[in-house]
Amino acid sequence: MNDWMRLTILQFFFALAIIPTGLVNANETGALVLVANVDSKLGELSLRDVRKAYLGSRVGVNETVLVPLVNRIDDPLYEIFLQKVMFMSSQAYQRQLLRHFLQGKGQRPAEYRDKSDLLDHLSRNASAVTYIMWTEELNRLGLKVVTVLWNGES
Amino acid sequence: MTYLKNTFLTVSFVLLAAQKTMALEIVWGGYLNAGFAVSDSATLYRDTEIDDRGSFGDTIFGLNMGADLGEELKLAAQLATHPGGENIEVDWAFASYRLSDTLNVAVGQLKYPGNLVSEYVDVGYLYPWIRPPQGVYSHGHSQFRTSLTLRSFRGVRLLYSNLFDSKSLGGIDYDFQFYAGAANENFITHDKLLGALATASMGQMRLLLGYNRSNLDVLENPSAPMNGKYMEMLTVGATAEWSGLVTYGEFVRSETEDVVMQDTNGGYLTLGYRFNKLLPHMTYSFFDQRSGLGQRTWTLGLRKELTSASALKIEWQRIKPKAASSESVNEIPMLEGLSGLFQSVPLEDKVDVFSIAVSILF
Repeated sequence: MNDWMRLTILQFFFALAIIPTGLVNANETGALVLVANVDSKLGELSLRDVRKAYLGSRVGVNETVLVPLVNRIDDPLYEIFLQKVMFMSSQAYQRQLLRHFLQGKGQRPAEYRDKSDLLDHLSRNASAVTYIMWTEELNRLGLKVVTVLWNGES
Repeated sequence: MTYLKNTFLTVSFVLLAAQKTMALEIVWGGYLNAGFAVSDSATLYRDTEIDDRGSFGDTIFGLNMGADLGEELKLAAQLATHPGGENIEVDWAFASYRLSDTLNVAVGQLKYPGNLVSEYVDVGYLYPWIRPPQGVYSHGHSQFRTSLTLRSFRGVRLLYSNLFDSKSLGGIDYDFQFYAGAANENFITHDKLLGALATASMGQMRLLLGYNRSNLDVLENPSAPMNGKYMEMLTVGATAEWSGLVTYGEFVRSETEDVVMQDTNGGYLTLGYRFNKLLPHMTYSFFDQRSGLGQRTWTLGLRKELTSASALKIEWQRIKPKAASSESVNEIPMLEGLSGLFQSVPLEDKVDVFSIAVSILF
């Protein structure tokens, strides 16, 4: 290995070390709830059904098929959902989703990074659900809690 | 290739038209690996063409879409570039139909499922390395180097999957796949392809056992000794992540009818430990062909999560290639000038490769 390669490697390690690490501290957050449109007829769902739906499997409830929406508006919320509900890392979750998708076993849930788009989908589809931690805004947003996924305690 | 591009465009057009008329929901996704690698040898390494001048050959892009057409019918396709390649190709495009809760059939161009990471071999975000261990995941770099994996195949696949609930172990997902078709790799076509695969997953652990048989035909070389011969592959693999410890291990054995020189063993073992957003890892990878051709590779790498769908990776590799024995070359002249996964025999006994990449999933 020549000198400039060594120097380059050292520079990259240094750059890596100074990139800030955004750790998720679940203890500093509130409850994580699964919500739907306030007019939705969805009742309480089991965590097993929620996990199945978010892994792309078809989950039927009250003669409709659950439509899980992945809330990617902010990364910490997404990571809490993966840690506390799916019990897997983002990589493991995406690997399982892709494998299920390629095997024709399931459809990947749609992802939303824009809050108004996510709320718009929820308002149009009574079978659609997503997870949030903004419980104080439920009434204003026209949403109702379907299931408490995690009560905020580790 | 024009046919494949047209297929993808047709599928896209049909789905978009259906989306307008049937309020069909299409889910789009994709990935980008942006990578640079440089070695201390002037000899080109593998199909990303890494040498001492540096290469961006690890830079690849893929865009995929899936749609639920109702009545248990699904359609999916992916357009992608491959390492070292300049063309956009249809990686997979298939329709699948759910026959029952446990049984599913798919037809079209299907991603090869026979190895531990072959279904997402180009999606760098989903594994620790910049490129999967080349002892197994190399794709036909010469007419005589057998692939121990395939990219995709055209054909049909039957999948049985179920969940076994164990009081002591929890839920175990398991599936059996049977597939048949034909595959085109860089230099070799695989006709009369038949395969069977069993996998079991529990939490973040996955075990795989696969068998594959195909009839070989070397493109543009009618005198190649493996033309018209059957090749069989047996694969055993496992991956697990537990309390921060990350492990991958895979072994593949390939045998070719009447061409014992081409019989190959390949495998690797990866160990890593996840410290929050950092994953340092180490891999030993090898492949050995009966002809004497082979390679040993040590990889030290570090992965850092940048966001929940992107990672920065750096790697250092030490590669020790082996050339075919002179007896093998006398018997099969095609072996002359080959060494490991290099394009020709490097001047150096050991070659160091430094790589950096950003992998994004969207």
